[in-house]
This record gives sequence, C-alpha cells and structure tokens, in this order.
Amino acid sequence: MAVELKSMIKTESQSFEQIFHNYYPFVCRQLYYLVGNQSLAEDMAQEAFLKLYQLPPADFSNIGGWLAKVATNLAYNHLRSEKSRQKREDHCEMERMAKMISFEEVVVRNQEVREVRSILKQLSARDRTCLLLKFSGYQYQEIATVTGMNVNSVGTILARAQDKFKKIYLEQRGGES
Amino acid sequence: MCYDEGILQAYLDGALGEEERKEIENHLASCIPCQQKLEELRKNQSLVHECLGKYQCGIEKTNFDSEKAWAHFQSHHTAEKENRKEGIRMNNKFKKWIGAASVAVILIGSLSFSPVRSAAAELLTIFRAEKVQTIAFNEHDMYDLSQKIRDGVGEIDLEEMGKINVSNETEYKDITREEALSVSTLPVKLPDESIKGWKDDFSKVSGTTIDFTLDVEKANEMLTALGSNHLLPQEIDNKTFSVSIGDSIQACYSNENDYLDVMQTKAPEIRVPKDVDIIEVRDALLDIPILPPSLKKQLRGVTDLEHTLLIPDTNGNAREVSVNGKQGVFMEDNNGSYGSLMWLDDGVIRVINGGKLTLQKALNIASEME
Repeated sequence: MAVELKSMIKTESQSFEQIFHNYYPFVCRQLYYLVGNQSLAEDMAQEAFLKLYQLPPADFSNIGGWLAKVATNLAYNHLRSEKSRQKREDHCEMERMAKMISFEEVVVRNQEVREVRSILKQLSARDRTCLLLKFSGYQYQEIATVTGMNVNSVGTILARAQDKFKKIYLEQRGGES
Repeated sequence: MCYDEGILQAYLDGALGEEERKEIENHLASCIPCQQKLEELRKNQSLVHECLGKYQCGIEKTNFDSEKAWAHFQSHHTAEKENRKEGIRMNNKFKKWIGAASVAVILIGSLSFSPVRSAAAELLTIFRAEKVQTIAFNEHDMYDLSQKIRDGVGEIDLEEMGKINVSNETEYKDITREEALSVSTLPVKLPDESIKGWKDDFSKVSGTTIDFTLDVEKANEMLTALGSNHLLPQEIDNKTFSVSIGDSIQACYSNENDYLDVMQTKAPEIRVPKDVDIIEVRDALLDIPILPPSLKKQLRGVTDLEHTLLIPDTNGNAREVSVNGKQGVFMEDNNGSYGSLMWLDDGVIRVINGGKLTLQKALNIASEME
C-alpha cells in the first residue's frame, strides 16, 4: 500500500473535485482495510475529504500521504471509541454488528476474508491497528505516532498481537473441524 | 542475558539500529531458547501476513463509486450550511458575509463603491455601497484560486506588500433589546409579529478600521509573479487605503422548532487617497491572469461597477429581489433548509437568516422592519 500511495502522488495543481475523484478509492480502501466495514469506510472518507476541504495542508506535493494520515487517524479514533462503546452497550452493538456482517456477506463472498475480519474484530483497537499498519508497510515510528505509544513498545505489542491473532485463528479452525 | 519478545520482534522487522542488531546476532548464535523464541515469532508473523494478504486482496477488489460520493460531498459540505450555535455562529455568519464582501471588494479591486466626496477630509475619497449585485463565485473557485496563487507566489502575505494597521480589534458583547435599539451608530430595526413569544438574545460586535499602506514595488513584484503584465500605477506608492467596518447589532430569536437571526451594520467604507485613480487600480487587478475567466467576464459585465456592492453567490442559488422597495439578495441552500435575505437600506446592510426561511417569509419579516 505504501508503494501504491507514492505512485499516486501528483504535484501539479488539481481542482478539489479532481483530487476527490483521484484519491477517493484510495482513501476508502485505506479506511475499509483499517475499520473492516465498507459503508463505515465510505462515511469516514467523506470526513477525511471534508478535512482536506476545510483545512488543506500547506504543502500540496503529497496530498496522498496527507490523506492517508488523516484516514488512519480517523480509523484509529473510531476503533478506539467503538471499543469503549462496545463495552457499554455490548448487547446493542452485537445486534448491530450481526446486521452489518450479514449485509457484508453479500459483498464479501470470500470465506477466508470473512475469517480474517472476524479475527481482527476480536483484537483490541491498538493491536489491530498495529498489525494492519505494519503489514501495509508502516515503520515502527509511524505506528507509534498513530497509536500514541512509545516507539520502544511497538515490537512487544506486535509480537503479542500476532500471538493473539494466531490463537484466535487456531480456535476458529478448531471449532470448524 | 536473553532478549524479550519485543526486541526480537523489532529485530525481525529490521527496526533496530546496526549495533543492537549485531549484538542480537551474536547472542542468537549461542542461545537455543532465543533462537526458538525468534522462530516462533517468525511463524506467527508469516501466518498473520498470509491472512492479512488475503484480507487486503478482498478489499482491493472492492469498488468505490467516487461519482456518487462526490455528489454526496457537494450536497452536504460545499453549500453554505452550518449547525446553528446561538450568537457566536451568527457572528461568524455575519463575518462571512462581510468577509466575503470585503474580500471581493479588496481583492478584486475596490471597485464596488460609489465615490462620495467627504466634506471633512478633502484628502480622501470615500466609497460607500449603494447597490448590491451577486456574482457567481463559489468555494471551489476560491479553492482553485488559492491553489493557483500558491503555485505562483506561495501565500499572499499582505504584510509583504505594505503596512497594515488594524485599529480597535472587534469585540463581541451581549446587550439588551433596549441597548440594541438605542445604538448611536446606526438605526436598528427589529421584526415584530413573526417572532412574538420567541426567546431572544442581542449582541453587538464593535467595528474596526483597517489601514493599508501600499508598497507598489513589492505589490507589482507579486503581480508579475502571478503572470500579470498590467501593473499598478506608481503614484499609489506609500498611499494609505482604509476599510472601515461599523458596529454591528445582532438579534437571535428562537423557539422549539425555528430560529431567526437578524443582523445589521453600516455598509463598510473604503477610503482612498484623493489623487489615486481607483479605476486604474481596478483594471490592473482585473487583469491578473489567474482570476477565473468567468469571474472576469462577470465583473466586466457589471454595467455600473462603481456603484455596486458585489456579493459572492457561492452555490448558484442567489436571487436579486426587491425588499421594501430597496435592492436585496436572497440566498438559500440546495435543499431549502436554510435561507438568507440581505438588503441595503440607506447605507445600512440588513440581513435575516433562518432555518427553512423562504423568500416570502423573509420578505414578511423585512416588512415588519420598515
């Protein structure tokens, strides 16, 4: 993803509408990847572009990078608040999730993708974001910045998150067979 | 000494410095438990990566409809539309009107005011609005324009082009209805029947004067950088222009379902040194190549430019209307959830904003303010 992002960077001046069309799919994918829900990703993409519209960065040579940063922060903040709300309204949330999953099943036919999504959902916002960012090529320092933790803890968090991921993965597999 | 999983993970990810990496390699060569730990981490990592790869693949295949999203974005965000917060928001709204008007006036060329001889100061020519007219200039145009300015000269910093002096910073104050009606600087008029029984709040924002002393050489450098070869005349060098914005009185009315904001202020004045040919300045500014052609065309098309206050029409919904026999402009947002009527009443700008405010309703309220 990091490579894709760089190749999309354009330095010529573009109208806001052009920028929107050029980067919208990219921003949506980044958000979808991080939050795991398509319609939510589309809503949040609107928010990301609103930020660009209202407070454009001084430097326009890297709009893609700027948008990726905004999207990542939106996603992380959402995941964190989502988790805390889940605790409070566990029941309602489960129901809502169930509806969302069944709707998304139409979109995501791939069993494996669903499986991974379900593992990710069981991880904490921090673990999940760390894993996904790491996989898409973020450096430790960048991961630390997004999640607001010390750069020296990133290795530990990743090691433990990957271990949890594996355990849930094996549990799910075990349950199936 | 053995290493913990965090360090080993960082080692695996190549996130360590050269020295630390070497130390770990030395240690690993002779430590079976650490080798096993590292192997375990590597296995976990490859499982996670395999899974995330599939997950990402599924996402990459998803289509996102940017046309639809753009339509949504436009209808929600690019029209002038904000949630109402008592008082303060109205204050902002008002600043927007005046801000937009003065931007149009200052940037496009101080061209919209009728020259009125000042009896007191022979040295100055005072321009004051007598008419209003809308020009289509939306936020996208502004955005594009600022982009082009950035590409050409970076930010336009007025301070680079001369000296700016702002006397008395604007100040916001809550006042009573009686105080509002007895303000000495302008004749305040308020609605009556339409807001019977509504909650009301009044406030005053004090006026301000901005003096700008131009350094022609620097200003012309900027015009050249923007690609213009029509430069400002030398005789305006070191002359002081000033824009005065008077006190404004704002009234907020609300009941459970509705709100109405009424604001009024004296039309802003631009003072220009007497021997300055404002038309020449205007022409130079109109010739800046980066101004959108549609905007130039509109400006050149205004037959009576010197007597007209230009109001940027940001969403194409503005209509010029007659308000109590005076000239005014009505604007509403695309879905009719917000309306705004502005008119010029003997040198006083009056504005009514409201939720679901239709033209008819606005005109009724305006007639109560006769």
